Amino acid sequence: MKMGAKMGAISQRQKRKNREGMLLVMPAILILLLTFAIPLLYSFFISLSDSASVVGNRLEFVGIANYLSVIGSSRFREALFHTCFFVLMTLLFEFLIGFVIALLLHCETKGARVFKLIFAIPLMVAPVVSGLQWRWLFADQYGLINYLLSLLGIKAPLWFASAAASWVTVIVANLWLATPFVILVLLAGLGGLPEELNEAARIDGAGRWQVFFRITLPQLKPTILIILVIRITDAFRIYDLIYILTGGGPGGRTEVLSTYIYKTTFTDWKFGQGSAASFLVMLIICAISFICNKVMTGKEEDR
Amino acid sequence: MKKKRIMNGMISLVLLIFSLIVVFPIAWTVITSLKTDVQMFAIPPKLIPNPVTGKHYEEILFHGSFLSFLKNSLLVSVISCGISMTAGIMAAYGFAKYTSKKMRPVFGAVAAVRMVPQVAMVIPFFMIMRSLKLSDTIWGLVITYIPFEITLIIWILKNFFAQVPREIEEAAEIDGLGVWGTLWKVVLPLSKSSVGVAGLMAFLFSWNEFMFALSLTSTSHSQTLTIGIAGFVTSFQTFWGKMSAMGILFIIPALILAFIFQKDLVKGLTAGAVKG
Repeated sequence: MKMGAKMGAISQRQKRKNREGMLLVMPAILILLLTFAIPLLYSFFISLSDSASVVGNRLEFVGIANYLSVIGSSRFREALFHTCFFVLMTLLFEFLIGFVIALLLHCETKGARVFKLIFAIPLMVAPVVSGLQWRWLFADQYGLINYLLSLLGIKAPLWFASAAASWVTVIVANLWLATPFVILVLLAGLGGLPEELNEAARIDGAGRWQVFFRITLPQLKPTILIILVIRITDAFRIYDLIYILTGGGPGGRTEVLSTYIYKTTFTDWKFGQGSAASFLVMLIICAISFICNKVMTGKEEDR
Repeated sequence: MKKKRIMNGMISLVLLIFSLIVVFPIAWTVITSLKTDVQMFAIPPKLIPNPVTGKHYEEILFHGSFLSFLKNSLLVSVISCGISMTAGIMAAYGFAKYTSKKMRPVFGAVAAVRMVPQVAMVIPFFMIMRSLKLSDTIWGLVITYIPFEITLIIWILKNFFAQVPREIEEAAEIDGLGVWGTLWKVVLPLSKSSVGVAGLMAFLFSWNEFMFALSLTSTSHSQTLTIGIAGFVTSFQTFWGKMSAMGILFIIPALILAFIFQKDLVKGLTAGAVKG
């Protein structure tokens, strides 16, 4: 009897605690419902409606016609292809440069704090501002980069006239913005590794490279996967830099998914197709994150 | 020993060169902002402005819409951050400390918000703000930014709040502090730096945001700094001097905040990808 009363008191307390928990999250949930869930649902209805009817504020249901027209459009497929190309290229270089600098910074003793402070700067700069800075640096006649290249005897291309050169400007500008993130997070990951393993391996006669590939890299796997998820989803959404640097040009050859959706909606006034395309993009991002997360948790279960 | 010293010197040298690459676009912007128009278009480019001119800064500060852009940016950022921090801190604490079965799917839903690309929200927000007569007002932007900031804050803070030892909270409860008292007087002071970083991240989101501002505002009545600065690129001419001067003024607040929170910055950057 006494026991039962005690149990009752405990579950009473548990219930009260759960109610408190719900109360704490309630304001945020309500706000998210109003400012996120409802607009998203509305967008879904728009994606199923005739574009002309949306502009007139009546939603005429047309089923999945918008989705079919987006998937069938060559502009969408090109934008998708460009976006994937950009994501692959930028991630490749971010990791290459990121790893080299993070490892060096890990060895650096004296100036490490100052270097870290400097490397954190680009993370604070708005992509719009950075894009404008690079546009000025890459300017054809008066740009500093062309001048520096001419000192080295290199004849620079007209940066914004060809697709290849335009991509170079976008990727360079994005590397400037995003590589510091990779460096700082990798560095934090390196700092968390136990030193003993490295030393033990070195005593056993392993070379520098062997230690890196056999011991350091496998231990960094969780950190690398974190960076991958964040950077892939971010790079997939690129908009500001493209808008400022190339505007999707020349001739639509640097058009990415975000700029495609924006133009479809606000230039062509096709809200239905724009919404449908954005749901397709959402699906792709979810799939990528899901795969990354699967890999991440799968690796943890192995241990 | 000598070999090691040479090695260390090499490492410092590479890092130094890399730092120069990082600083160089900003340095060039500073230099450009201090040049006269004639010097700006000199061939070959002049590395040092001579004479130094404050003309571009003066024009921006006294003759353009810079001050109203700045006011709008500040208002939007501060208001949206304030609301998001209040609701976000509470929710993060709720998710961290009350992990009943019912809570888990709710948190999953909040987490999923981050998977939604921003461009997907531009269309519904544009339509809704038009219907609510909030187009071209700062309130339209505030409402738009809040969901992104709240989820960011919850992501960052949930893990930190979960690390606060149970015993401390239980002691606070025995002392008669309720949930609110414990959160306000015990948990928050313990996680000051993380809360700071969460606030910084939310602030940076709204301060640097461009796409929503582009679609939801149309006059200097509500346009923010990102729109203002992009406006210096016109189809006829780009005003590089003014653009550079405004760019420098634009990034100063963000840099100051970054230096203040520098030590905990990385925690804020990775939060959210750490499984919650």
